[in-house]
Amino acid sequence: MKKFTTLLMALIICLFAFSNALTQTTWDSDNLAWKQNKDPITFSLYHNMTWAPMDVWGKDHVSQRVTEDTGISFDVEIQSNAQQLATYVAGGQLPEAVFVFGGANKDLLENYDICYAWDELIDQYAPEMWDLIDKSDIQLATKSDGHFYTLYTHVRNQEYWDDPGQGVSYGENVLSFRQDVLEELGNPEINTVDDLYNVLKAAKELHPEMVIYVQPELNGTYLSRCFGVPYSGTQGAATINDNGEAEWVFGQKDVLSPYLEFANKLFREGLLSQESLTYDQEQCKAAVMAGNVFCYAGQAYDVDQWNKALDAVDGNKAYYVALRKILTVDGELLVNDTWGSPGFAGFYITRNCKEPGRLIALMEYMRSPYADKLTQWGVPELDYDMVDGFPVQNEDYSWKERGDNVWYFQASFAVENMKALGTALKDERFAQTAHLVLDYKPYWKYDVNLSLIANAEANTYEGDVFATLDNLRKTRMSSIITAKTEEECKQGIEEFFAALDSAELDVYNKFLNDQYQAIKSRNAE
Amino acid sequence: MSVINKAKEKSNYKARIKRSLRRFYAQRWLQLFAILGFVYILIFNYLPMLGIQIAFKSYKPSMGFKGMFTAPLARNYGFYHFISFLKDPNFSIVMRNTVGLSLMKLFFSFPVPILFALALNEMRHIKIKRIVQTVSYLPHFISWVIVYGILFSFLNTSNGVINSLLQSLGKEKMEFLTGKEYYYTIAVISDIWKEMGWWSIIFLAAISGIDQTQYEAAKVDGASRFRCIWSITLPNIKSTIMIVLILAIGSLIRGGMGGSNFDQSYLLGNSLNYERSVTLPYYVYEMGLAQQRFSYATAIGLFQSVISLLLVLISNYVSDKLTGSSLF
Amino acid sequence: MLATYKNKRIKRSTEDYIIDFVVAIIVCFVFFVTVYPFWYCIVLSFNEGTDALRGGIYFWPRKITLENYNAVIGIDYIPTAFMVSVARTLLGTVLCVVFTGLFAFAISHKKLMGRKIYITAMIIIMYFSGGLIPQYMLYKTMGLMNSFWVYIIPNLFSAFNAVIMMNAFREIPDSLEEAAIIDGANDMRVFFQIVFPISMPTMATMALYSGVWHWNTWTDSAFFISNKSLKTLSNVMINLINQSESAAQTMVGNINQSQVTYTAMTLRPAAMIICVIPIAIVYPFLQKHFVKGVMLGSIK
Repeated sequence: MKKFTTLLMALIICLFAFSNALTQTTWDSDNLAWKQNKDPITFSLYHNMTWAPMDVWGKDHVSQRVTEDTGISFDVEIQSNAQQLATYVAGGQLPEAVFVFGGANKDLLENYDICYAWDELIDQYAPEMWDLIDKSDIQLATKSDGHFYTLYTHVRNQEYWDDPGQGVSYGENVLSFRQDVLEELGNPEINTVDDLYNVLKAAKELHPEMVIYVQPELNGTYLSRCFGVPYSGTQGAATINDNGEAEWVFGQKDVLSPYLEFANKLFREGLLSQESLTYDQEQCKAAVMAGNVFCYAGQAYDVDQWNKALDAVDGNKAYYVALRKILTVDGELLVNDTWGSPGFAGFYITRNCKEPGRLIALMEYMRSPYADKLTQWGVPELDYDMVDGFPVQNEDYSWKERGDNVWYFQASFAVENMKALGTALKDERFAQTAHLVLDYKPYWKYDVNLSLIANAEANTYEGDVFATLDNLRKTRMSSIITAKTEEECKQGIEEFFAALDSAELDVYNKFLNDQYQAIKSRNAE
Repeated sequence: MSVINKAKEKSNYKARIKRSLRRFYAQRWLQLFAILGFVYILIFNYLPMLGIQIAFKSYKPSMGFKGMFTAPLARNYGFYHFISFLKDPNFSIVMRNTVGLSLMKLFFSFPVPILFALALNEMRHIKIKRIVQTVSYLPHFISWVIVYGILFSFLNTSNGVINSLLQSLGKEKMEFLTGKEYYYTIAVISDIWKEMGWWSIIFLAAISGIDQTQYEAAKVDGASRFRCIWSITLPNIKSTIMIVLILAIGSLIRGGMGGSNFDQSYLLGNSLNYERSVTLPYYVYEMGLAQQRFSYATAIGLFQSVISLLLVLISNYVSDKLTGSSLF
Repeated sequence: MLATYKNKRIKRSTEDYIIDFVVAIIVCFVFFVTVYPFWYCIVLSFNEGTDALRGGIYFWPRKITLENYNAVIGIDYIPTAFMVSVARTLLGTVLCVVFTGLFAFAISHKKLMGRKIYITAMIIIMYFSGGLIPQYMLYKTMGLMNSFWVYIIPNLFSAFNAVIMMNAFREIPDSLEEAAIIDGANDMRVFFQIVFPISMPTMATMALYSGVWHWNTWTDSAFFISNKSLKTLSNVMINLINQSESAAQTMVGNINQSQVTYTAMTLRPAAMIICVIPIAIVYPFLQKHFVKGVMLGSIK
């Protein structure tokens, strides 16, 4: 009897486990919401990925495959103008779906009256989706009202940080030097900022006709990072000071001053190009393409791309090699970069949408590894081949025909990175990115609490304060760096911080810190 | 007695109304044209002006259209945005640049189209005249974005022509694009270049409407060509000149003849020459619209509008007194 | 003009030489300074994008290519956008000139009752505006959203044009009008048959200004129209130019940037030239109205 009971219990447990396994939702389950309804339907969509050559749905491989799989098509409108979205919201003209990046846009849309809350939609139309979503992604996107209105793309969570095979963004800021000139100088070691100074100086003596150091506005943060100024992906960014309080990255005088003084020294000695401080991406590329830049600060990916472009020019001797480390200052490694992983873009289902259920089902589809790869790499076998475990693009089809990297409504970072690495694998000469993204990863720390701090919303008091502070930052820092004498520079620094104080920096810092402490105690439980 | 006076007044009053009605009927067509236009601008211009009220409120786009009316009053009795603007660290440089640049543009760009129209008028070869006139307005079509691109190509320090020339002559490179000291010059010159041909068209049109018999008479009297220009051409287009001048003064804040302050600040301005390049129209965009701060943008826009209107009224009055021609 | 009265036998005085010389200098300078940048744009538009970034191109393209024009013409909806722009320019300009002209004609009469009110109302709107959002609501209520008429109806009146026209009409001697009225014409006929033809130079100028404005404006298409087949050419061009601008604003970087061979630097001139060509074609027809000059005497 006992044997029988045990057997029976074992059987029941087995059956239970088995049936549980059966009902456990996976990406291939049959009960997924998007598989239930594949009727053709069209929604209107607005997005601001203005660089993509696809402004119509259904003309490229990716969107065609998505429609085949789900029945959904979109009537697409691309942003013409940065004020459009706010005007649409104010005028009640939002289309049914909005896919945008940018903190201000996200703030605008993440509002219960404007967009559907995903948690409610999931409960109503696709409850099995709860099993499929990573809790940390939800945590990132949850607003103070308890709802989340999207799940961001390209989120980097703990799993990502723990994986040694994953590198940082290939947009990482690095310093690149002309290889031939470095060889002329005897391939000096560059480990500290003083080494950098010496190398730049030596290069100038050797080649006075060259532009020694180009530091563009947007991608020139390598040097400031060496001094401990945290990289601020979003300008409202906060950092933690020695007292454990959150404060604005650019309000830290003791951190910012050494950097400003060093950059000013480079400028005064003719090593830093004044004009380059105002360059945008294309102008920086133009300067490099002109062939007489010794050193430039840019994104990791640019190094390979611009080397490739230079290679195509007849009689070209320029090849740039990127520095694979961050420099120390006075023997200390000051770099203080914390990456939260706020994600890149969000897909919002607005209250004007007639059938939100279909769209939330589409999101379920988009989150699957299959769709993730589809929307970021292209149609398998058609648009790419797998080489050494990385996707390598098929050159037969243009970007416009493939349609990747636009409709990636629930893209993951890991999949995107693999593509960058795959592209870099094609030619070793143009594959520095693959190394750089791993070289720079150790410099980053991960602090989820920091990343949850929200930007100051526009049209609030803190928002107005921040607008003034940010304007001061943008307009004063370059003037300080281009001061003609050391005294002028120091005076400029004093005036800058005095101006920040009278523009109520303390109000903004308090705003950041209050949030941080609240988030910290919330997550500590 | 008073009863009779009152009766007289009443009959006067009635007579006046009758006269007015008759006058109105006599000009009924003109009144129709005028009223049509008036009603039109009431609907399409005055109705939307209700939106100006958000300058005094704390409006957020998420409040929607209704929010324009229901949004709470801003701090400081609704003047919060205006006070913010006055307290802004950049207030003085914004105003200084706007006034300085605009005055310079007015002073230099205003006479040039007139002089050019006069010069063209004196040309003998009709074919060449037409070609030159056609070509002169081309810059108007080159958008400021492209103008900036052209200036960048020529003036930049890494491979620009001008700097390469300077270098080969042994001189130092000049930071045209980022140096504070160059901005005003570049802005004014490029404004003249861009708008001269276009604005000369109005003056050419005015010149071509001048009665030829005046010239014939003058020639018979032995007047020199210069005399003709001075005594016939100019006075005849005086009213056109004054009207365009008044309008130009009205759009002083927008800059130059074509409102170039914004585009120039946006394109030619950057963080290094900010102190000289930021102007009010650009500031409204940078600190207002670009940050979705509709209330703030509207407040400063209102400030700008009031100043412009005052300028128009003043210049209209002065023009009336000095030259007898005016807008109204 | 003076030229038609020139007696070839008359000796040219020193003054003539001086004036001719000065005029020639001015004209040559203007010609070069305005033609060269335009030529530069043409050269750039035929040059390959990335190569243009290197600089050094001044008089002739270095790497000739049609890819910029291909990119521009290859946009979907270009033919429709072109037709839309043409339609709105033609219709919009004609209606604007007539509507504004009638109003200006009316207020140019000193004896018009309520004249001060009309003019004041007109001046104020030149400087005060409620912004985009109220326009949104207005057009929505009137059913103009996403319709072709949003290009025409809100632009029937131009205060600037009205002021210029009012001034031109005031210059016309009253005797002309009075003569016509004595002959039995009403104000409508006076306008179309007398005033309009006489002020042809001004009217042509207004048509040109209004037409060019219609052709180039893109914000109404961007904000009020979402239907692709109703977008104007100018809007399509702006979108194209935005697209080729660098994606440096994003944090993720742009993995596909290299596959786009044209750059903003060469694309913008190409787009601009395509937009300018129709105007350049139409312009000579209007030009004869304000360069030739009208013999007023004969009208009398």
